[in-house]
Amino acid sequence: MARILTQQLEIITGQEPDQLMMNLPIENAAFTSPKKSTGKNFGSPASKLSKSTSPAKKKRPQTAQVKSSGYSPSPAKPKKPAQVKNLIDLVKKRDRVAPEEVIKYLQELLQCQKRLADPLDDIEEIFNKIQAWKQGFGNLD
Amino acid sequence: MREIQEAIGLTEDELYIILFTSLDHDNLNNLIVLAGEFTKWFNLNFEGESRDEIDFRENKCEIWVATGALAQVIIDGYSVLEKNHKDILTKYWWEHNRYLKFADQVGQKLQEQPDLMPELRELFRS
Repeated sequence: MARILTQQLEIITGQEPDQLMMNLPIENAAFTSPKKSTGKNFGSPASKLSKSTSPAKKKRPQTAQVKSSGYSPSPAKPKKPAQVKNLIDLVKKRDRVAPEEVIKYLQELLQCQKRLADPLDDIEEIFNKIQAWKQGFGNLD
Repeated sequence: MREIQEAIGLTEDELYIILFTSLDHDNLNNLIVLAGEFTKWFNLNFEGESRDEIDFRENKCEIWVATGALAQVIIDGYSVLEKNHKDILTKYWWEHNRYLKFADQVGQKLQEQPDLMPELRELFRS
């Protein structure tokens, strides 16, 4: 395997393997663990650049220091939700009825009232139907 | 609502009774149903003849009649309007029309019998 590699190197570079080894720099000849980086940029050119060319940072002006008295600045005020003035404000605009619809439904109500002289019996009937419907689900208590 | 109607087997008129006796009269011009009033129909136990059931039934009968009278007020008020029909959806319009008849009658009565005024004032003070 090693022989094949050296042969291939010989073909590519046109130099003998012994000469190749001699030309290699000493530090590449043996494996060395990379140096620990000390800066944020891990020794990149950018780190050198920032050191040399960036303008000197201005110091922040010092603010007056106050002894801690347990007081802390008031927290950011939460946004006030839209004020609900009427019950209708709780209804989405798309769900609200138009004036024509209101009149139509109210006219239907009046017609219904004419049909039902006394709703007592009808309410009784509704009770019975709802009771029967609920019993269909079993004992809900 | 139609699904419930079918499931329970309610007629159209019965459905109207449930819905129109669950409306909020303060917002009748917007036909807002009060959830509490509506769910009472389904939460009350109608088994047997309980006091709750009798009270509920009488209360709903009164609401039914009152809703009809107030509906007529809205329809009459709407028919008078030549433009800005959307005004009937406002709280101001509804409160004005709702108490207009009553206020007119009180005003007329007090004009005819001014001596009733101090009596009425006393009544409110007490």
